[in-house]
Amino acid sequence: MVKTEIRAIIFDVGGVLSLGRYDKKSVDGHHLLGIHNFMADKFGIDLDTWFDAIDTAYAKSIEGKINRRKALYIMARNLKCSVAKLEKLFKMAYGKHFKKNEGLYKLAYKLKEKGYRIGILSDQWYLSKEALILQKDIEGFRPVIVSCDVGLRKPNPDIYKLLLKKLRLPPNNVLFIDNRAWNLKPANELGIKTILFENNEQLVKILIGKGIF
Amino acid sequence: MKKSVKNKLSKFDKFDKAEKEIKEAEDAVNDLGEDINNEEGKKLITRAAMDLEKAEAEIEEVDEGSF
Repeated sequence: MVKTEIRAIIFDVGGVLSLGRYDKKSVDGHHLLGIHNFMADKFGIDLDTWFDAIDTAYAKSIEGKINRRKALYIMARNLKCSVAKLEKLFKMAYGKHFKKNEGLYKLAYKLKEKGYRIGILSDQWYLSKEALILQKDIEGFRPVIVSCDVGLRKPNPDIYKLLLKKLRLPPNNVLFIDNRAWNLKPANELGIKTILFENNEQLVKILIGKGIF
Repeated sequence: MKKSVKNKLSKFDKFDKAEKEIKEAEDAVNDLGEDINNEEGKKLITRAAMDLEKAEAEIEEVDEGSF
């Protein structure tokens, strides 16, 4: 029996449902670390050169502005390597640097058993989506909104409006959990309740405090 | 100046620079206000998000442990 006004709980993926394997907290508890240094190292280039090579294609693909094949082709061309090699290295990087936040998935499914709807709202490009958002893990999540699929990214307010549209709920019935403060601000401005995620223990405490869990 | 000291100072500088870049990116998005809904605002979000990701990678590269 759900006693609070919250009816849907929406999770971010990177840094929330999926954590950096080494969990090297640097600033603001961000966990999305490791991929770029790993890739730059594999190509024997510095970070500036790596970001120059992937920049536009990577940014556009997070917003679904170019397709998977084109994004990989542009990056591979800039890095003077084959698409197959680049794809293999990216897959290796995501596999090596991220792990599923098992405890949080369990919590999410417990919340679902209690009557809450659970969903995902995440910024990903094609390869990170394939690596971090596995169908077997997200069977019970509805909606699953991923930036590269919907052509919008956080903190663009339109992506939160899309979330509300898909949920068919008023904003004050929705709780959104993300590890980046700037992703929470537009959600708050629309009236969505938010939690800045730090770790599972912190989240459980807040959910208990709100009478949700 | 000893090489090890120079290296540490260089790491501090890089760390400091990356932290400033993160703050600048976040401030740029936070300051958008109404512009967050228009094309320019969306472009700025894209740019700032990339800058943020790069700055985070730079901080990781510096390796805080060496401080």
